Amino acid sequence: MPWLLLVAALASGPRAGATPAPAPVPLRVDFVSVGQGDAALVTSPTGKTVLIDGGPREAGPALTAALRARHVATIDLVVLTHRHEDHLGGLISIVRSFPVRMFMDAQYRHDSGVYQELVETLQARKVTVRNAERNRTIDIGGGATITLLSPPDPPIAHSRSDVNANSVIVRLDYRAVGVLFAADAEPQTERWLLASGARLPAQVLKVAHHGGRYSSTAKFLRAVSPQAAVISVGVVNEYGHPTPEAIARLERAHARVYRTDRDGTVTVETDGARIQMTTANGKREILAAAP
Amino acid sequence: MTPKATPPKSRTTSVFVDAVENGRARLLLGDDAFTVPAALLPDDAREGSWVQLSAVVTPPQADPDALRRKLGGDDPGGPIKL
Repeated sequence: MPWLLLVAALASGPRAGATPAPAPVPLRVDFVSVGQGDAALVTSPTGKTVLIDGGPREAGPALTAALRARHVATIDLVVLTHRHEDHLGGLISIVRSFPVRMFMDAQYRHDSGVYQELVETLQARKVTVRNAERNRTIDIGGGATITLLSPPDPPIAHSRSDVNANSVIVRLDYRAVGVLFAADAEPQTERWLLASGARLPAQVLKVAHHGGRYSSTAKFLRAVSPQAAVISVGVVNEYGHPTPEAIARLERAHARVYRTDRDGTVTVETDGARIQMTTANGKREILAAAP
Repeated sequence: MTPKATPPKSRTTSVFVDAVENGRARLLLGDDAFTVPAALLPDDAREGSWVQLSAVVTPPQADPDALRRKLGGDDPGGPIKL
């Protein structure tokens, strides 16, 4: 059993004997409900902001509104995990609407018109562009760090989707708490990560590829051992995401499953020991470190 | 001797225009229904029309990678502090 225990569910206010909610809240991750796509906003203990992916183009206005509602004035870093439209389309609105200090992606080619528009927008807005490379670290302030566990080197070839398979996998650490963003990792990516020696255990997992059938393999989930699994997925999608197969594997791994299609935006707040999960539809759960 | 067949360089399919609404056309291909921008259809296509779709691989229409490499060309690598 992982070293964390799920200690409270569906809070209806503090109760005697219940683990108190973490306060203050130094680190926060919002898995923003952007329909069929991914977008996660990390706010560090010192207020630095990192946006990991931006959802599809049609989600741009909603994502912009969500960031404004969080009083985001500047985005310190945008990480694009891979060049599929459901991860990058919304970033064009974001780069036009907010000062973005730095943009980072891996150089795995996927030469779409929408990516061209994003790159031209980055140039027009004079955004610093950096390369996502395996093992690169980013100090986001207050003791929180981001480590890039991939892209795989050499790149994975001949998978179902090499664009997905060569995604940038992001690890966020703050004291004893880890959050793993598995982008659209394919099973080959998961095998590569397992063999790479990367530190995988994490309390919170952003589930790979919207809960696709082939990702979230049992071996990978055993290595990550997440307490909470967040699936970023649209109510309406033609892919059948999330798939019953992926959900079943997550449940066998004893992960609490959150879904942006049902729960809306899912928020993780942590003081580096305990973790509070809240959802737009009113759930609140506390994960706490075992003694 | 019969010449060896080569794979087709293009594919043509007939689909049924099931509905056109809000600039989107719902097309039926066998059991499959999918939508495309209505502007892709010929002007005389209407609900109930059959239309032929052709697909052929073309040279790239965009080359963002060169600009992307140029923009990241001054990256010194190594750890970053925000």
